[in-house]
Amino acid sequence: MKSKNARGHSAGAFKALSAAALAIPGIVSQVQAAAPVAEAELDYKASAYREADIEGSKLAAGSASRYEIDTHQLRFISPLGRASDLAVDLSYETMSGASPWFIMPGTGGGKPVQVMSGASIEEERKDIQTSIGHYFSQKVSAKVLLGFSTENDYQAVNMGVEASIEIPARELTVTAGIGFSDDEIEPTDPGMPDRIDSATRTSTTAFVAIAQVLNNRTAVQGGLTLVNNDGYLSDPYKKVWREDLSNTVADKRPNERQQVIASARLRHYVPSLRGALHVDYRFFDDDWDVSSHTVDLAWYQNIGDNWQLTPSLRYYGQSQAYFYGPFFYSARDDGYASSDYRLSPYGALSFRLRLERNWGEFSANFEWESYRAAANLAPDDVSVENPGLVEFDILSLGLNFHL
Amino acid sequence: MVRGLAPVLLSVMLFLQSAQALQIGEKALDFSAPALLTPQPIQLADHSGQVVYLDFWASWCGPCRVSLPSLDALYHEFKTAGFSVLAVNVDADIRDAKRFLQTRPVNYPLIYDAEQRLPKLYGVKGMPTAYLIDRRGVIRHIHEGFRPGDEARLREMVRSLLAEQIQ
Amino acid sequence: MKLLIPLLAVLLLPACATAPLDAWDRGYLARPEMAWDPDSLSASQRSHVYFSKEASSGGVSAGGGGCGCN
Repeated sequence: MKSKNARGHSAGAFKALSAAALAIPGIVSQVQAAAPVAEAELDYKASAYREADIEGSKLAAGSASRYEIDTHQLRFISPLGRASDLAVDLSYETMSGASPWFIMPGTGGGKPVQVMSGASIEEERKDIQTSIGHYFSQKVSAKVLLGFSTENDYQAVNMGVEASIEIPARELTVTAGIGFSDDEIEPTDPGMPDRIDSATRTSTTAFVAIAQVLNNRTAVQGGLTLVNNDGYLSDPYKKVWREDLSNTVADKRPNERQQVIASARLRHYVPSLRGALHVDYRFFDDDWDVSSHTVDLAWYQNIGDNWQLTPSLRYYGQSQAYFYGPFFYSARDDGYASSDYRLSPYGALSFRLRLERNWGEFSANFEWESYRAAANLAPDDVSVENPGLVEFDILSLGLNFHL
Repeated sequence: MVRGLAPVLLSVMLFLQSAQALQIGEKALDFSAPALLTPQPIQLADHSGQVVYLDFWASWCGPCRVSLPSLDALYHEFKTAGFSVLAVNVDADIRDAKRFLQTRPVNYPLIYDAEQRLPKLYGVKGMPTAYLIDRRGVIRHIHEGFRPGDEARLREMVRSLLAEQIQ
Repeated sequence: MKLLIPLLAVLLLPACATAPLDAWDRGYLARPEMAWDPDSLSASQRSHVYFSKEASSGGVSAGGGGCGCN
């Protein structure tokens, strides 16, 4: 069987297009909001994502080898006439491996154990995201975004608009935007009992962000985002173990999910060390009772004229969704149930290291990330750890050309 | 006596001017500043009678990656007709400017202003900003930013300023 | 949603007055490593991975669609 878990409750999957959107005010450079990019650039990145095998003691049945994803990304940005610019992001992924299916109670008072899906055949995902920015003046700019992604069981169309206003006298940039995503799920093997034939979901996002330059080496940004998800938000490939039935039932989640995200970012340059500090914080809260904190710290160290080494550390910790359980003794009154590890209480630590070499008009970078999730990293005490929590490494090689 | 007063007058002028941006139609303020790559200082008055494009740039400025090669092309085209580009670099670290020039070398005179006295004198508001000065030393055009198509527009302006006679 | 008011307050906190910087004094801020996301491909790939492995997602962006992610 296929080992895919449909998700897609937010329009935040691809942030690439906003990379330069929330620029530091007043700067005439490639990071400035109120001027189009000066020259064309091409970026390429190849990444290998590898999940660690699930431990034998946690595995009840199915394949121990989890997901592997190979990704190729291409990004092209270019000026377009005198007052506009263009960005195109292409992404091609191939995925294979097994993923968590449902969880059974441990025998003899032991910990619960994971039943995995069988290993999948190779699947692919293609994604194109485009944006056109227009600069009405040195202070006002707007951007239109349009994207499409396709997998053999999932299609998403998204669009959005963003507008930016600079207030140079106060060194402020205010950016606001709205986005919309219309997704369609057509699970493979629809003939399986209680698997849907097809379903749709939509996601609407609105955000506002304020960037402030504090001095000639420090800038901060605060953001507030509201997301409303509507439609089929369950996972057609996941099941839930019911003790009273001695059998599984389908994963079932509410048809609506509202999310609030508050974020704060700091950039600080230290001339004496020729390095830059990044501090990113995000608070997430939704009406499924999931609430989380994310802290990301990075230090960009320039070495000599052409090298840059960047170690980073990320912490993520979340509370569980109210209808989550590793397994259930009986049906909940509301009928909802999910054993998805992503809705369980846990925390995750990830370490990244990035090395970049610059040759003027060309640069190359190598990146490694190691991510580990565990219940004991959660913000609150967790009595039962979900056995499906993930551990992965990503290796990537990136190239950048100024055309 | 008059010569001795000049530096005092200049500094008073600098102080008064620092708060005020220069406007189109005003006389360009004279200065003498160290060159970026050579030991001899460069003085604006040395170029009197010429049409001068006085450009303020920095290695970190995105549009400058486009403007410097464009200005070099204009300089080659019109230097024998009496046109010059004077480019004032405002980088905090001169090494950044030199590294930039390795990949984008230019032939026109380059000034390095460590104290960033000149951008204050001219009241520069953004990077890059340039002042197109006619043969009589009057600012005729202030060019902020640098976008695709600007080279052609500047070529026309330079051509028409070169055609003007000094009265 | 009762969280909204304190969140807005935090958001508006940096909006207290700052003296404008001189045009030539933006060299540090303009450095590529001072961008919010210096490597946009890396940022988009990572947010895609976290999106598919964690319950939280979203940020200050109007871009992107969902995925049937593993």
